[in-house]
Amino acid sequence: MKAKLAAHRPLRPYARWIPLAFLAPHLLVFCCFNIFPILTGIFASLTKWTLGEMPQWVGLANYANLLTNPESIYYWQLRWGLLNTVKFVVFCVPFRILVPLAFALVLSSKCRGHKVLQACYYLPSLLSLSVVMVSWLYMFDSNAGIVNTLLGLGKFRWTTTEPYNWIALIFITVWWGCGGNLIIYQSAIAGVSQEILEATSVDGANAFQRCIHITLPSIKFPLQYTIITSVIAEFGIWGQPDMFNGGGPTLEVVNGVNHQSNKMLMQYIAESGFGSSGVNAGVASSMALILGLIIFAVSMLQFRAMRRGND
Amino acid sequence: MKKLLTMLLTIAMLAALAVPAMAEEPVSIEMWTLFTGDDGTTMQAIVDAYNASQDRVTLTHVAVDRENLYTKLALAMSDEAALPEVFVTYSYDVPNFVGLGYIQPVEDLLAAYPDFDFAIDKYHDACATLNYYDGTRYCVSLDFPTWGMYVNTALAEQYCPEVLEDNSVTWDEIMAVGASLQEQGVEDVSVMAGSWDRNDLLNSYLDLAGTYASEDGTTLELNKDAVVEALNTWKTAFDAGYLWEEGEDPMSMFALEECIFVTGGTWNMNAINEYGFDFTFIAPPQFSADDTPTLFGASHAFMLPTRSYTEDESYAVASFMHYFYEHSIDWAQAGSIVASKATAESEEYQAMPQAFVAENYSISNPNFTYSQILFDVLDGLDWEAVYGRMTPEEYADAWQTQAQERINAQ
Amino acid sequence: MTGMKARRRTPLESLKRNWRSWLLSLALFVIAAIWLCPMFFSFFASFKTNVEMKRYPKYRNIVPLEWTLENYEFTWNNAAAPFMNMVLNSFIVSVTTVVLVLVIASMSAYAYERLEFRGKEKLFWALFGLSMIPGVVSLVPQYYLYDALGWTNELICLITPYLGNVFYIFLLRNFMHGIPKDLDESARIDGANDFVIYSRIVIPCMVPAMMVVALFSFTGSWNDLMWPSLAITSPNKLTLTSGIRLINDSYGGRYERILAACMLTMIPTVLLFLIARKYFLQGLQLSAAVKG
Repeated sequence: MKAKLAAHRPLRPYARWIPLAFLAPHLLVFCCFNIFPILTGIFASLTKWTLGEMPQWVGLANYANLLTNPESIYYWQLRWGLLNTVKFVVFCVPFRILVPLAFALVLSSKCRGHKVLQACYYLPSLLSLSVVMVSWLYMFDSNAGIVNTLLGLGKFRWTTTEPYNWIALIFITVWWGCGGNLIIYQSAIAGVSQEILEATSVDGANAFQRCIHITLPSIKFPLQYTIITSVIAEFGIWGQPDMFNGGGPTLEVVNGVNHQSNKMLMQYIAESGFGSSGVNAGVASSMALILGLIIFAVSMLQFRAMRRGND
Repeated sequence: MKKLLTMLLTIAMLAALAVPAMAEEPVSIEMWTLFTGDDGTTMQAIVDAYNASQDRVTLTHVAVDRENLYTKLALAMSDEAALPEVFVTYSYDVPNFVGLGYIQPVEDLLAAYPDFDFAIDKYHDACATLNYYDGTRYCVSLDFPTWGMYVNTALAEQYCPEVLEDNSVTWDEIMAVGASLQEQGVEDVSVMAGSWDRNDLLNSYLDLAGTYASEDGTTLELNKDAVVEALNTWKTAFDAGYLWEEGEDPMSMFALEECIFVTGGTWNMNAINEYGFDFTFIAPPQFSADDTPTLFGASHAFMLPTRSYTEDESYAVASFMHYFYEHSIDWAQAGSIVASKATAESEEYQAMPQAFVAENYSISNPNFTYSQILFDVLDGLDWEAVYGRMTPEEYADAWQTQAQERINAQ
Repeated sequence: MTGMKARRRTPLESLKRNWRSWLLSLALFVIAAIWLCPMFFSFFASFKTNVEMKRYPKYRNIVPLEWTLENYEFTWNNAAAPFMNMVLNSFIVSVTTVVLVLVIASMSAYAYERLEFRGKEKLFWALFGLSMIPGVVSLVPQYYLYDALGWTNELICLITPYLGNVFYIFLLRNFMHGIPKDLDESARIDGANDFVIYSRIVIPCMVPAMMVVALFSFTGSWNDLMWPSLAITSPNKLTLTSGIRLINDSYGGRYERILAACMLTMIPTVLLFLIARKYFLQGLQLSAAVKG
C-alpha cells in the first residue's frame, strides 16, 4: 500500500489549501444542514421526548431499557426487528447484486434490442414506493392475483405464509432496486477495454471465461461500491414490508408483544419516533442509533475485507 | 426646513395609506383539515363558496394527510407563525390536546359573535358530550364519522327478511343466517364481511364493556373478558365460514354482491353509491337486541390552536364555522352524519341513508386522553386472533401491554 | 467494436451467431415482459373506475371494461394542490439538487481520491459513519433547524438536506479509483494545476458515473416523500409526491387514483432516463477510449 502511494505521489506538490478548497463545498453543506439534525438525533436518544413537549434528559435509560429490560415492549421490538432486518439483508443482498449483474453482463453483449431491454429492466427503479407496492399487492393477491393465476396456486396467501412472505418481499425489493445497480454495472462494463476482450476472444476464451477473468476484475471497484451500499440500503428496509403486510403474521407472543414474521427494525423506529400517537422519539432515536452503529460496523468490515483483497 | 418637509410628506403618505386600510382591510386565514381525496374536494368547494360570499375574508383550506397532521401540529406549536387559525381533527383528541396545551376553549370566540348563535342545542345531541372536556367547550363539530354496517337490500330480502324488521342485527341473527345459508347450500354469498379490524373490534368491545378508560378518562382500563368475548364471537363466525376468507377484500365482496352485510364507515358511502344496487346503513351486529345500539363514532371538529387572534381573524373563523353550519347539506352529500340540526331537519337530508343512523342510534366514544394510542395499537394487531395466529387472551394482553407502555412514555 | 468489424466472418459462422443472438434476445424480451407485468397492470388499472377495481377479484380483467379518465382528472384538478404548480416545484427542486450534488460530490471525490492530506481517511469515514444513522429520526430536528432559518414552506429546504450526501462521493470516488492516473500526471508535468486536472481531465472521464449520480439524485429527490410532506404545508409549495399523497381518501382504498397520479408523476423521470441514457452511452465510449 505504502509503496503504491509513493509511486502515485504527485510530481509537483500542490499548495496545502488545495485539498481544502475541493472539500469546502461539501463540508460546508454537511456542517450546516446535516450535522445538526444528526447530533440532535444522538442527543434525543438520551432523552424522553414526545415531540409535543420539550425533551427531558434521562441519560442512558433508553439504552438500558432496550438492551436489558425484557419487561419492556421496546426490548422485544429491538430484538425481533433487528433479527428480521439482518435476515432480510443476508437473503436479499446477494440477489440485489447478482440479478442486475447478470442483466448487465448479458446486455453488454449488445444483443438485439439491448437499448430497449435496458430501459425495461431499469424502469421499475423510477417508480415511487406507493405504486410499487400497490402493483405488487395486486400481483400477489391471494384471491385473484396474477402470480397465483399464472403459477396455478389457487388461493395461496403470499402475505401471511412463512417463508413465502420473505420470498415475495425480496422479489419486490430486487425488482424495485435492480435498476440502480444495473446502471452502475453497465457503465463500468462499458469502460472495460474492448481490445483486451477481443484479444482473449481470439485466444479462444469463451464468454464465461472472459467474464470471470477480465470483466469482473475490471469492475471490481463499482462492484464493491454496490455491495456496500446495497447492504446499507437493505438495513433501512421499511416501506415495502409496511405496505405489503404490515409486518406479517404473528409467530409468537412474548410478554404482550407479538413477534411478527417480517417486521423490520425501521418499522418499529418509525412507529415510535413519528406518527399519529404514542410518540416516543427518545427510544426511537436510541434504536436508530444502535441500527446506525451496526450498519457502520458492517460497512467498515466489508471495506477492510475488500481493501485487503485489493492489495 | 427640508427635513420638516420630508417629515410632513412622510406622515401624509402614511396617513393616506392607513385610512383605506382601516376601513376595508382584507383578512386571510388558514384552516388545516385531514380531509383528503373526495372529502378534500367537497371541503374545498364549500370553502370556495364561502370565499365568494365574503368581501373581506379569504380562507385557505390546507389538506394534510391524517398521519402527518399530528406531527405537523406538534411541530407548529413551537412557532405561532406556522400555526393555522383553525384546524379540524377528531373530537377524541381534545383531552390530549388540552393536556399538551395545543388548543384553547372556543367559548370566548363563540360568545363574541352572538349573531352566529353557536348554542350547543343547535347541534346534534352527541355534541353535548363530545365537544366538552372538563365542562369547557373545546371544539365545534362538523359531522360524525361513525362505524356501521351496509346492507345489500336485495340479498337481505332474499335470505333474511325477518332480521331487518327491528332495524338492528344481533350476533345470534348473524349465526342463524349463516347456518341457514349453509343449509341451503348457498356458497357464493357470505353473511358478513368486516372491513376494518380496528373499528369492528372496538365496536364489539364497546358494545360489551361500554368503555376502556377510568371515569376521569386518564387511565386505561381495558376489560379483558370483554375483549376475549368480542374476539371469540368474531372467531366463531369466522371459523364457521359465515364471514370472509383471509385474503379476501371485504369491500370487493360487497361490490360483487358476495355478502349481505359489510361493516364500514359513513365515509365509504360515496364509493358504495357507485356499486349500483340498493343498500341501507345500520348498526353493526349487537350482542343483545334490547337496547338502542350505540355506534362507535367520533366527531370531526373545528379546534382553535393556542395562539393569539386579531379581531378580524376571530371574526373570520367564527363566520366560517357559521357558514359551514348553514351549508352542512353540501357536506352531507358525501355520506356524513352532520352536526348541524338545521340541516338534519331538512327534507333533503332525511332522504339520505345516514339520516336513519343519526335518528335511531346514539353516537359516542369513551372519554379517554390516549384514545389514539389505543386505536393505533389495535390497528397493528389486525385480525390475528380471528385468523387464529394469536389466542384471544394473548391478543387482549398485547393490546393492554403495548398501549400501556406507549401511554407511560407520554 | 472496430476490431470486430475488421474480421470477416464466414456465412456459416454469422448464421450461427445470428441464431444464438436471436434466441438470447427473445429470452431477454420474455423476461422483460414478465418484469414489466406489474407496470402494465397498474397502467391499465389507472383507467378503471372504483367499481371495476373492486370487482376485479371476480372478473379478473386487466384491461378496463369501461375506460375512464376520471382518475387522471381528479389528480389534475386535485383541490389540495394545483397540479402544474407541483410539477414545477418538483422540477425546480430536483434539477437544482442534481446540479449542486454533481459539483459538490465530484469536487470532494477528487480531493479524497487524487489529493493527499492529513486525516483524509479518518475524515471520510467520520462523515460516512455519521450518515449511517437512519434519517427518519433526524426529520424532526431538521424541521426545527429550517423553522429557525425561516425556510419551512420554502423550496430551498427540500434541496439543502441532500447536498451533503456522502454516498455519491463514495460512488464517484470508487469510479475515479479505476481511472488511471497517468493522464493527470502528464498534465501536471505540463504545468496544469488541480483545478484544470479536475475539470478538464478527470471529469470528462467520469461522465458515466456522473450520469449515474445525476439519475440517482434526481429520482431520489423526485420521489422523496417523508421530508417534503413534513416541511411543506402551503399548497403552492407542495411537490408532486407530497401533493399526490393528498389524492387518497382519509381512510384510503382509492388505488386507481393513486396509480393514475403515480403514472403522471412518472412521466418526467422516464423522459429524463431516456435522455440521460444517450449521454450515458457517449460518456462510456469516452472513458473506454481513455483506458485503451
